Amino acid sequence: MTGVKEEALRYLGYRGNAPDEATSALIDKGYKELCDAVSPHTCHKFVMKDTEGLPLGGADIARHLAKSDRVIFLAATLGSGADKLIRTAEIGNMAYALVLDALASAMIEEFCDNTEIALRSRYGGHFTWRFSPGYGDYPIELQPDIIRFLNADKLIGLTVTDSNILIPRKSVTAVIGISDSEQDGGLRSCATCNMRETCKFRRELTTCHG
Amino acid sequence: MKDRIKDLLERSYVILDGGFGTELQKRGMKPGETSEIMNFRREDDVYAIHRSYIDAGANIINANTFGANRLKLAKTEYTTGEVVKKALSIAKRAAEGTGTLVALDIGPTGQLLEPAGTLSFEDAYDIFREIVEAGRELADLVIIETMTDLYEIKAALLAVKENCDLPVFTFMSFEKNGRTFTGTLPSAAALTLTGLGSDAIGVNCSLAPDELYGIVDELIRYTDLPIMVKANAGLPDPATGAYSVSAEQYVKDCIKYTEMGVRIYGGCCGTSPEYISGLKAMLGAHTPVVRGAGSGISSVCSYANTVDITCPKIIGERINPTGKKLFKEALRNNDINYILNQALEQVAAGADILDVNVGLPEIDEKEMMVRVVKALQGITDLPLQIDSTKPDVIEAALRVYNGKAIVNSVNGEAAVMDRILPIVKKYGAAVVGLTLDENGIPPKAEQRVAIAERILRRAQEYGIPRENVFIDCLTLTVSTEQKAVYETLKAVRAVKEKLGLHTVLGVSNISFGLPTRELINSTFLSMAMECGLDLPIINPNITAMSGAVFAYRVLAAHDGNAAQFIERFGGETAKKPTVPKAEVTLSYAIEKGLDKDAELLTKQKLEAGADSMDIVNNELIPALDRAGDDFGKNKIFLPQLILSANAAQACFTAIKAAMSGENRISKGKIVLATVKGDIHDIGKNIVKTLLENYGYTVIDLGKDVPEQKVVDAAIDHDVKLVGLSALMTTTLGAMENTIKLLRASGHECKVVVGGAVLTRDYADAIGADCYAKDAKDTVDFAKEVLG
Repeated sequence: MTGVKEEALRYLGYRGNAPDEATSALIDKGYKELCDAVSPHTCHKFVMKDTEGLPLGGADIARHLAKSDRVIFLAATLGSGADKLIRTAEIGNMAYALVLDALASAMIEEFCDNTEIALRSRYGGHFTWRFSPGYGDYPIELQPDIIRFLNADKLIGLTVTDSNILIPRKSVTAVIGISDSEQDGGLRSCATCNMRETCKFRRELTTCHG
Repeated sequence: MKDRIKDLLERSYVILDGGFGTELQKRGMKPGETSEIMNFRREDDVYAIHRSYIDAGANIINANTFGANRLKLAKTEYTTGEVVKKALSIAKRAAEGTGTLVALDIGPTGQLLEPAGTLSFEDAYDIFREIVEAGRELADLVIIETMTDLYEIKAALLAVKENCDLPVFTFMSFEKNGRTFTGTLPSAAALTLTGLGSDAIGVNCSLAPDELYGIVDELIRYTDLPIMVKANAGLPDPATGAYSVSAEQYVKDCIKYTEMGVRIYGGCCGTSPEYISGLKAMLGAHTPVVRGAGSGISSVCSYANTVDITCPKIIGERINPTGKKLFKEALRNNDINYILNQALEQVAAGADILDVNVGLPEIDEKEMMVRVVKALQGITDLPLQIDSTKPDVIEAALRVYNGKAIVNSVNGEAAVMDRILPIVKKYGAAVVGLTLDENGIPPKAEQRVAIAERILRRAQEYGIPRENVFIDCLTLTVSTEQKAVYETLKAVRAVKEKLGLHTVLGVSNISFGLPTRELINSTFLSMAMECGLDLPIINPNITAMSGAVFAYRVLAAHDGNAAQFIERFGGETAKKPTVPKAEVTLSYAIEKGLDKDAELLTKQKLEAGADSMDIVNNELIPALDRAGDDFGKNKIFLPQLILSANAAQACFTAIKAAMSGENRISKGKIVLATVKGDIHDIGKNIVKTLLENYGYTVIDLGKDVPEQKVVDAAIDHDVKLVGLSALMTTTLGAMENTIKLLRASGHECKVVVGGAVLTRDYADAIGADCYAKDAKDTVDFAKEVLG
């Protein structure tokens, strides 16, 4: 099992339980089909934190970047092929659609992780974890500004709806701080997460960030 | 003005301008600032950039209107009209007395169209219409560029063609994988934009010139229109913003395009006047070659799949209510999923094109056709054949179709041709001509060929090229007119050989009234293909039919090394419906999600005389309940629960098929919707699957549903239960408003709400009757309310 498949099982609520044969088969098939359907693209901008007019807002992101003097704005997407595959599965086979959705969620996270590794080697320094709009009090309403700032619609085909949902659906925007010294508060926590009241991981006494 | 562009296009080459945003940034515009606002804030800079491109040798410059659409300007203080007029007036002033022409420049809306996104085709059209209306008096031509969605550029091109007389150039942006971000192929872009009346077609943005040769080559193969290249100066550095390809390199890499016959050149992001003057010098020394005639190959396409008719291709006939009880019922009940499943089945069976016929006297055919076409192109890449006799239905379908479709059909009757051929021409479709006229079907092959000729001539008079005319020589029933079969085949051969046109035949008619129809059908199909049949309309789900086409392609040496045949039939061992093992009961099959077994066992029970309601109440629902309980106890997980539901669905389908249309099982109706602004509907769809398999009729309003639409549906269908779903904190407000509006309407009903961000407290606070933490909860509440 690759990390993506294991992660997808976690999203599906398995919490370490082995999937039954039918679900296993769906996961294998879904992983293969998704790999053919996705077209991962990423773009970023590397700027000094004191650059004017950066699309940042709220106390949480300020705290997150407190130690950093450089900032990376990052966008990544699996492309609309993943959405189409899921949409098609929803017509005749909801179980498969559900599995595909979980796999695609895991896959975009993995893609971000890999992108981040490349960024670390390119820019050096100590990185914070990826902080996305909608998390803590970083307003989701800044999503269009981030897309425009990154020119992400032109560079990677990433757009945002009136209600600030990213399209293609399996996409991420995030902010990473870089400093020369050790980052503190570097652990992601449920305390600042706006999903904390309803999070299914917390309900199960685990977390989404492992 | 058309004449000046025509003159320009007759020259051996034309030069466009280069990057605009990057030039503005050089003059102090900050990243993230809206460049269209600079028409007001930096008018002198905008003017100076235009002048610099004119001085560099541009024959056409773009006014600074790329993003002047109402969506992108929403957060500024300016309207589309103000920006467009201002930008054009600056560009006109810069061009005055130079002979340089000024283009109204139209870029993407910045939002993705349905089904990938939320913007409707009609709204996109209206956004572009507003731009065209604002600019048509001042501009010399229109340039549409940087489009990555064929559907969006179609909306823009239609808006231009329908609202002004200006010439229009169209550009799309492709990636290294040879497609746009949304999956559009260069061939599909060329076919569709040529058909819709673009005056030149090109590639711009995204890549450097040396990365676009293959894409441009594909465009050239699919259109005779002038080709344009306006590449990027490579990619911007994420840290410095500098572009990677120098002017010298850019120009050098463009020399190859002159050898390919590209006649229109410019630059996109990162290029500057230096690149344009370099292009001018290069083109002075390297005159572009004159391209030869086009291939003459007939092709149809969706945005992501081009079908070249170079050997027999299968048109799937199953999306058609004629003689199909369940299909008719699906149309009456707006059950789009049923129709989509018909499509997916044919895709899997090897169809190349899908015929779409949704005509039924008691429904609004036009509305249904538009819905079905939109839904189909969201889930399949196969090109569509629009099957209707009504001009308004055909036009509505072609308008929303994302690609180049086939119209089925016209015939030799002058009035019919004059009604339908102009529509075919306007939307650049292909058309099927039936060899009959007001006097009926002529018996002799020669007479049918004469009608075919008449149709071809009339089509050409309307400007439809011959490669877009397909002829159906008409299959008659062998049991009543045995000798007629050879007349049909003779006509097919003559149309193919003498007229050089592609041929279509509805094959299945041949065997009416005979036993083992498959034998007659597939033999006739093979005979017809040998006579030159290109587009058999068949049921591809019958292996004897699609298999005959696959086999023919091998035998006629179209399928090199039989690769496609082996891929399709290689692993085939005689597939018989597997008989479930004795210990597999219907309950067991449902619990374990064995859908094939569930279907077969249900059929067996029905054949043995079991009552369908008994099966539902005594086997299906208890089995689903057990699966639900196991799910609640974490013994099984969501995918398994849904697999059980799928198996129950297979059982239900078997029951429905055995019952007459009126006598449907329903335990009550429920309206489901994902609220306005929210497009996460997978959760809602899971709930729907489960509810349906408990026997409830779900009226699924989809996602991003306006508040009033929910209320209207609740009243119209007189439902006692409404389910609402939301996944974003930002759309919870829409959920609350929907409930308020429902209560204010006075319609008595319960409301159940669910979605990841909801809590029981919040559900109470917004006045919901039930908070469902998962699909199972919703079913339990439905049982409470509806029994």
